[in-house]
Amino acid sequence: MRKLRFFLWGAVFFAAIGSLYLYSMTGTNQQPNTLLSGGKLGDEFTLMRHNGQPISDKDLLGKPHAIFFGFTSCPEVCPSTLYEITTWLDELGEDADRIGVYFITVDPERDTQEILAEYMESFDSRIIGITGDKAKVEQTLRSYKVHFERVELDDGDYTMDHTATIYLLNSEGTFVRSIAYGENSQTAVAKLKLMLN
Amino acid sequence: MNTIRQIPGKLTALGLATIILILASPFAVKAQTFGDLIISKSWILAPPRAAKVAGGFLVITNNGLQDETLTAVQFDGAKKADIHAMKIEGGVMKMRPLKDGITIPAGNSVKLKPGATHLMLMGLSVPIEDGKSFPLKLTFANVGEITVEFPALSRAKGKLLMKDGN
Ligand SMILES: [Cu+2]
Repeated sequence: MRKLRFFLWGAVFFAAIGSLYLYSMTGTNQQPNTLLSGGKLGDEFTLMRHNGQPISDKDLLGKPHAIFFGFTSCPEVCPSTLYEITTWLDELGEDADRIGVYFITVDPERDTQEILAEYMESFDSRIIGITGDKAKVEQTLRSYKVHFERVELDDGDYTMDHTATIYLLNSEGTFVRSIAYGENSQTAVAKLKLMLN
Repeated sequence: MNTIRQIPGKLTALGLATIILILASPFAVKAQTFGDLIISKSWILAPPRAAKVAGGFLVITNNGLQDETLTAVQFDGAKKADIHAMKIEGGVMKMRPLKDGITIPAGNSVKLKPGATHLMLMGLSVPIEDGKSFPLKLTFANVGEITVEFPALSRAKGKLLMKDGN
């Protein structure tokens, strides 16, 4: 019962957020994200692309970009989101070339460059996987205000709690808006298109 | 103006594609009855290459007079299989093993679907590819151990399957 009530209130909450968002799309009222109220996100970094080449914060700046944080040992949220992004980029066609799209691992220990290289083959080739030295990756995640936490399972296995929201940043690295997990494709594509203006 | 004219066309195309996919649904496994239980819409999200984990989903309906509990999952192609609760809380994905399994109250259905509770297959030793099907052993407190086929589906097909019907 309590769970049901929790769920229903959740539904009301998301419906409210949804209508607020639609309102912001039609008007000039931009709904701010409480956690990430504007401002520049991310510090300087040098990490590794899934193809083995180095990548730095400078490579991300200069064009609007979308960043998703996750890990390859994720059963659903990460692959689903990356599959969705793939269909959105497909829908945007060549316009998608004007947006940088990045997938930064929250599990650099297991997500080596080799694993990430193979993993990314399942998605749009414009999505760049990023991994690297554990401490450096974690520092970068923190600079993007990403929540990530190792959770132990039995037999020494572990999983990661992590931010499942896609960040949309402008060419200066300023947070503009986000796309939530499970958000419908039309709004997601509309949000990506807004970045091109 | 242009966009307005395009929308009906797009919707029709989408509708047609959906109908074609559903008519041609070779991927949907027929609902199966095991005692008082009906198992339907079983599927695994075909994971990306190199992924060592996969999520399984299904709908369990309990037509009995007693509550039923799914206590364990087993899959020969994985080192370990568990029942996991998952939720997105404040934009953060959290996943935890359900030590006591999932209870399906008498006369009710429980839907395991993306974004929520799932069967978690870990340490995969076989490639779970779209188009293939895999037998999973499910252990229930009353009905006992049953084997259910789980076709591996792409994200798009899985979404259609979950939408279709109940
Ligand atoms: Cu899981």
